[in-house]
Amino acid sequence: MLRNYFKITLRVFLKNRLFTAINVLGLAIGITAYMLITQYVNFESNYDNYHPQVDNLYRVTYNHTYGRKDFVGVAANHPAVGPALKQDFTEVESFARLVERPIVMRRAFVLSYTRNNGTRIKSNVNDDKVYFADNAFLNMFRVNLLKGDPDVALKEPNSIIISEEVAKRFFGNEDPINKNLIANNNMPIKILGVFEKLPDNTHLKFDILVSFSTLSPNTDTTWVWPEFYNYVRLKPGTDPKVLESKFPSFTNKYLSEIMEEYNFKTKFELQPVKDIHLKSHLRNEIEANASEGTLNFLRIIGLFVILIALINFINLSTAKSVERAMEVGLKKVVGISKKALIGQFLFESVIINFLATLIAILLVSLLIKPFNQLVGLNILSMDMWLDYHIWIQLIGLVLLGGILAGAYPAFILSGFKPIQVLKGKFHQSGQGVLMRKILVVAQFSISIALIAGTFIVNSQFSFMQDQELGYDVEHNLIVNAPTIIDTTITHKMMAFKNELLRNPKINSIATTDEIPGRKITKYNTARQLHIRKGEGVRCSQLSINHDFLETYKIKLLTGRNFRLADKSLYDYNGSQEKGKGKIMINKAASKKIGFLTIEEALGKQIIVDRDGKEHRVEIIGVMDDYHQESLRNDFDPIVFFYFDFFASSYLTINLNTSDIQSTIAIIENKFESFFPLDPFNYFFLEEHFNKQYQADLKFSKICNLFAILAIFIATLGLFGLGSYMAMRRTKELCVRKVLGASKPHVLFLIPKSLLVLVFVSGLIAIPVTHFIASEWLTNYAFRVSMNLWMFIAPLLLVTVVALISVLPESLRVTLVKPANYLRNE
Amino acid sequence: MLLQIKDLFKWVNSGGNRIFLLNDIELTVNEGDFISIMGPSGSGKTTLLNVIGMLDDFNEGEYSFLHEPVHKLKEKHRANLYKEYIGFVFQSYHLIDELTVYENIETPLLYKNYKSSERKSLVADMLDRFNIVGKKDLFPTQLSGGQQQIVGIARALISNPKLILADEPTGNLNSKQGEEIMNLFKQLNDEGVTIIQVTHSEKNATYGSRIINLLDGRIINTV
Repeated sequence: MLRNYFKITLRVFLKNRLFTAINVLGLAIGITAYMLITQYVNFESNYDNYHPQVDNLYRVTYNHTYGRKDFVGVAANHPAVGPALKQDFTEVESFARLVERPIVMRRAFVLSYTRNNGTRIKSNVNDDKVYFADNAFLNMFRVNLLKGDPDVALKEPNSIIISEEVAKRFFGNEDPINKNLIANNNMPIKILGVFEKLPDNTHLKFDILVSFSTLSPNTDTTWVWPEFYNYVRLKPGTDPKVLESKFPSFTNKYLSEIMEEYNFKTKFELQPVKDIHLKSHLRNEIEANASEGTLNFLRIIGLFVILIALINFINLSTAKSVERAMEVGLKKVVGISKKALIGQFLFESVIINFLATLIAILLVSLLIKPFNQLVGLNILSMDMWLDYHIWIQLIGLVLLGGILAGAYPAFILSGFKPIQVLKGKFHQSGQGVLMRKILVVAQFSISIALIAGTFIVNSQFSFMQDQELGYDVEHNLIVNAPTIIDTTITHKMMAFKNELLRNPKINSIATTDEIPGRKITKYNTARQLHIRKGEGVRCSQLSINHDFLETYKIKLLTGRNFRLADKSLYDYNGSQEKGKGKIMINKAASKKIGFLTIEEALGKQIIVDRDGKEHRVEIIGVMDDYHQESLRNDFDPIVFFYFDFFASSYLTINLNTSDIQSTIAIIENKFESFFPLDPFNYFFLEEHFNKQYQADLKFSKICNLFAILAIFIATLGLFGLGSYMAMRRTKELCVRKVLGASKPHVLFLIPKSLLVLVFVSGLIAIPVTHFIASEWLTNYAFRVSMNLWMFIAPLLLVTVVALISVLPESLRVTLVKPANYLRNE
Repeated sequence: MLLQIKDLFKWVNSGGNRIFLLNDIELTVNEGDFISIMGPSGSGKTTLLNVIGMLDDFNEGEYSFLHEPVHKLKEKHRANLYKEYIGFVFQSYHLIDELTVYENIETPLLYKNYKSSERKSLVADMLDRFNIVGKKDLFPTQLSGGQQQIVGIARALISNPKLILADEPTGNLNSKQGEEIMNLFKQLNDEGVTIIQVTHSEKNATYGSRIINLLDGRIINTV
């Protein structure tokens, strides 16, 4: 029996080469897309799953109402939280803290090493991510030490572990263990470990870890510095909810005083580490996390793609069924049971699915590199074929797809009445026609939705990139400010600037402690004089010099710019009573602090918090809003400070030349001569700013890819449907021709009936897409407004594709000689 | 004279052999004729009818319809010719299943650019004439074979053709229905419509004024 099946299957395939090819190819592409999406989704949802006892691993997050009405969640917490938790609760087995270098060492952390041959290697402060971590961190998280002992590597002060890559940069082939790096030219720190590159699927991102004990011992009891990530491992079997319920008394014990003074509430929560990547969207995350919504969206696309492919298969097979009708009729006449016939057709269907899967496996293997490049992550590798899960999934797909998609054509075919079939008369039931129409409408709807969705994603993306940022982003070169500083720095900087400004290619140089394209990490409250303490609003704080407005070409709306004689905080280290400070704010801050107009704000005194002290300052100018961060975020309310001491991390150099490289060389030369101990790093503001869009870009690329695939598969299906429709209506068209219909009229009859289906699909797809897209766009503070074209264009596109794909068959039928056809009826 | 066929040949090549479907056909049809074409299966009856109806072409010979040389006409011109003057009636009716009786009858007019009001009155006349006004909103599958064939004839007549070509019009009908249809043809012929029918039935053939017997694509005699 099976041999007979096989023989017939093979001959049928050979006889219908084009049909088989379309069927197999469509399915193969569908399965490929499905596998790619599944791999991507699996990768994203398995973040941080590989740590030991990951189910007991939590991050203690900090929720507070400081400077606002509602609770805001922060990923980081006070450095004293970890030790206190371990001390107060027996459920806490161990804790580890992690803090990014600039938070605890605000300015300088230049590492250097002089090799045996005398070359001096300086670290690249922007490229290396440096964190301070407790030694327990190496025990709680899987960080594979290639060299060194994880039990002690981060125990002693001034010890450090570095990644393979960093080790290679500093030491080449030398063994780094127990060697000293010099930090800031005066502090030796000892390398006690080299770790293997971290996998992509962890929320932890660091190149260098410094022992936490390097920091001042006071840190362990500090309750007013919520910038430290606190991780705890609970004893096995601990219910995190029970522990969480004990937190209110815990926070009262340690924080009641400060909460009363500043009139705010706090709440600690335990956040499973493996949930961080998908579910955590708090302030101060280590990296921007992925959204579960996006992932679910991709899951849906994956299902859709495979669904479209299967629908195709069903459509093509039933369309072809008429050609098999004679075979079925004959078999029935000679007494083959309906069951055996169904078996045969299911067998064929499974074989087609099997072939398609084989091709898909090949395609996925070929796509490993391009796909990884596209998403910018190492998601695919040949190793995935070693995982038995993927094979279970594939076998399931072959059987399920083969049987599901094969069932309908099989039952249709086996249900043919032999006498009618043999007589050459064969009628499809109205039900079958309706069924196929529903399938096609489903296909069209999915295609329209995918195209419209992709269109909107792309529009939002280009909208964000095209939008005026409110400052000169094109001509600004960013150079890191010197980090190794002494008392002469102010003078040195002045001289350095003057030297550079003598060059006509350089317009102006601003010094700031943050640049657009990154969140301003420094923030605190600001309030009008009549507002009570603790009821101020949160504003970002940015240190600038008087060249900021000119360099960035930001508009001053009212008031004046800073002058050399100004000071924001008089006698910064003492009391503020000696006089009024001068500050500037932007429009968003003016509004947030509660001024009705910017004119009202001008000249007003407000109270700002900075470094744990309150300062009474006067607003001397209000500048226009600009996009500090990507257009996902709203305008940041910012208070601008002007310091008489050096408080910059970046130099922004406004260039007016196309001869960039030689200008950079000049700047580097000067920088090296003024600040020989600092590494010279530069980048372009525009490039830097656009890095924020990497995730969006990735998402839009993935959407594009799968939308194209879906459309391609749907086109194949339409081709099949076109053949079916044409075949079914051949008689009608011939009769019409005999009755005098012209060729163009006959040619467009079939496409015309497709138009109705496209229209119905549009009615289904457009509202759904509109709803989903609106939801998605709420993620962005600045969003493109949806217009009718975003929906009409996909509809038109699908229409055109549909028409073109049924045209060949329509043409064939149009050219049939009615005499030949009608005689055979 | 309505049409004239001279020295007409039609063949197909099959495996190096030339098989003649129509072999040296000579035929003249005058207006008002009622001709029956007879012959065994495969003798070329339907082929000849299709050639006359210009649905099929031929390889050699001359065919003039109303003094127009059909064999020299461009396809479009030819289409206009049969659209204008010829109506077809088929053995299996070939009504369009998706259209109602009314719409089926109306279809040929759609392709001849009649105004909507003209179409309405013409179809109404036709429904009236064949007593099928009550069935105008039914679909073909809801009718008996005889009724379907009446609709088929009504459709053929709607554009007022000079010639009706009928390919075994009673082949799918029982004897009573067949008789009705034949009487209808007779009546039409009396009104001046030229009719050429293909038939197997001696009895039906007697309705006509002339019988042409075909064998292997050749006219063997004319009665």
